[in-house]
Amino acid sequence: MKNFRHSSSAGKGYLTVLHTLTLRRKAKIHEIVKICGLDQSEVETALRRGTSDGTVKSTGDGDSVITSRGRELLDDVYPRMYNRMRADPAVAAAYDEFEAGVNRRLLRLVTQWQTVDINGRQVANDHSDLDYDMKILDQLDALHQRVTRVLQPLAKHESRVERCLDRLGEALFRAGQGETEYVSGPRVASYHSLWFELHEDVLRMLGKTRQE
Amino acid sequence: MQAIGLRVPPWFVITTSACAAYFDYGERLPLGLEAELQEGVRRLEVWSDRSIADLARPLLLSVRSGAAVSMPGMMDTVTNLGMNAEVEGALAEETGNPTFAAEVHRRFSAGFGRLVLGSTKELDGIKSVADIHRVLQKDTRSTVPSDVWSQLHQAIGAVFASSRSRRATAYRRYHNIVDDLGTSVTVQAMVFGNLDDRSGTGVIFSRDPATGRREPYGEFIHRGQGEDLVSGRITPQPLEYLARKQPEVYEDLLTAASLLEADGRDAQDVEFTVQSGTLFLLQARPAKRTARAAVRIAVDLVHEGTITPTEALNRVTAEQVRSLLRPTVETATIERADILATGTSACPGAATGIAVANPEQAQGRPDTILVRPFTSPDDIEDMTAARAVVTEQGGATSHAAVVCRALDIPCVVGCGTGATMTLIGRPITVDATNGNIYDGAIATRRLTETDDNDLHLLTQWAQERAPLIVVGTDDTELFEEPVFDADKTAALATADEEPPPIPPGARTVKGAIFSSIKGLTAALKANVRVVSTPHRLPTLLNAIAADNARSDNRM
Repeated sequence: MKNFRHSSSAGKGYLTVLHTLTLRRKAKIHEIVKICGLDQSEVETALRRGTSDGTVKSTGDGDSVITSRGRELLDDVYPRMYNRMRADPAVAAAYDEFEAGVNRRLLRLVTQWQTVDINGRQVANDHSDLDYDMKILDQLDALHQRVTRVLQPLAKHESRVERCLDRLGEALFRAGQGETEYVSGPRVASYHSLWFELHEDVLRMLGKTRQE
Repeated sequence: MQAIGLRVPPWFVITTSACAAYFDYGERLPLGLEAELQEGVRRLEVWSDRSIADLARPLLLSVRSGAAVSMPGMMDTVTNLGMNAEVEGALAEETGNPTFAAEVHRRFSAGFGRLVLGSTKELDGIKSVADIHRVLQKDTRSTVPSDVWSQLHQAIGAVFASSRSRRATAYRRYHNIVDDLGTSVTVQAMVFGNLDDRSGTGVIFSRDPATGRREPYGEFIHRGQGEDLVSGRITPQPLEYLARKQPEVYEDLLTAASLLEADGRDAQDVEFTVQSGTLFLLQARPAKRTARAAVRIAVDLVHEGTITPTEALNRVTAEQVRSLLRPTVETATIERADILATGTSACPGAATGIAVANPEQAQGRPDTILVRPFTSPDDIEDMTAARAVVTEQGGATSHAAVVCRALDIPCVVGCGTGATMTLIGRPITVDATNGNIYDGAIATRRLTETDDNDLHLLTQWAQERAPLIVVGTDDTELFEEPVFDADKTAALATADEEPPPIPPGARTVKGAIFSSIKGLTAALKANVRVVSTPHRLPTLLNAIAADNARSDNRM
């Protein structure tokens, strides 16, 4: 992979786009732009390079997919790409707090959103009890403020983290306005879906494995 | 509740005009409110023969929003207000139970800290009041006042302020509620379920919340307070315990539940406290119930003449009906089947298919079951296409569980390392309701709307009242031409997705997307006459809801 050893800042855009493609099975250009914040033209350049390098494949529908070659390239490059982040003790502390505290709490809250306890049994929440739902949204609000604070050391190194936190905030706002699918709906940019992606992003940047 | 002759701990209300004055006054308690408070507290003292901050027989209060309709963002109830170190000592002496007194003081401090001072720290686990105060000082730079009247003023201010919380404001905006009416405040005398041996706290459901049968169901914590039930730290007794120990109280309770059910015209969840052998009702509201119970209760109430069929249809949601129509595994067959793996049920249901670990293995088969060590965001598409999902890692709160519940796909998580290797490539049956994975394809049972009496009736009533005709997917002889089949054109529709554009002039539409409110709204706009979906009742319920929403919007 001689190209990347001589990579300039243009190379960083290429790697960012490849990394972004690991967060989704496939993605269209505007989706990649939304996640990583690069210009459309930068994304297009990166994808063209990826196609010629064999690290990116396009499907018929205008989606791009990362190939196994692309994944190998990233695995090779991650330590160098994120070396400053990985060496920063504030980041390590932030990651621990994220995994041990914040992430678990998020999953518990979303589970409470999705199921209610009736007579000892867990049953799907049909969202007819506004009070119940709103209490959870209040707690999600508090959690969102907390995670924004906790991930600041990472956001300092990588602007994509800040972008994702903003998008999480938007999802929460929409959920609060009555669009209940924005809590955990898997087909929209819901709070849980974005969180899942952010978590994956952080794991990859820091070279950790997912512990469920 | 008092209106129907039930005993409720005395209370008084601070009206919404005081709330308006509070905001006009720069968020300070208005003049005149003090006199109103003194008068109200005085009445509670006379009734209870206890007094605020008294060292012989102290009176404690609860403070909550008095809004008739629950609005989001409203504060939770502050309980046990009126506590401080002296009162704790007094209560300990009066009851001969210092542990009880300390616990009441602890609860008050934690609750006040969270609700009035706005602390976000976890206060419930902290054992001593002194430690709670320390944490609060650090977190909020303020403390719980020991002066009882200050406590009361601050709690009332907090309730007023919560009516303008971000969430309450957003709620009004979203629902186009222009007038900010503020909130009233209810101040009520606390009764103690933990006072003595003839005291306790409990909840009674006027009908069984799991089955919907007309049998009372409930729990009781002897010598406990309301928070004990809610927190789950103490295991309650079944209500039969109360029936044995205090039969007259139990009879009173059954009568109360009956009256409340008749008054509310629905199954009720009633919170109560017994203090020294006297029953007090605290709160009654429509009971939470399972889908099965919802259907049963709605139909029973019509048969009993309490509600009309139209009202019954409002008491059951499409989601509840769908959950009843999910396939389950035949119990006779599973006794003979081999269990290959077990885990935690993350989303109920059952499915059979071939276990695959990735889409390449699936090779376009429609009957795949995704089996993985864990799932990551790029698996979501595969999960959508699978009939069920099985993971090695994780519990009911894992990402895989969350996604599957949102997609309503049967899911079993936490089967342990090696499950993938065991299952890959084999035909299996996932019983996600019980968390078992069986070898081979086992027959699954499916309840239909026709073979269940209650569902059959609801379907009949719903069709009589629906704005269009709903038929099953096989009832092609009832279609009216021209027919638009969305299943052929749109891929993988769910309730979140926008329906495809309906060709003008189409009289029948077919497809799962048309069971959703969005799909039905589009169908109604397009003047479609017949809708064909796999199940009829959920679609009928949503059609009625979509029609009502359209009329509301037009008004």
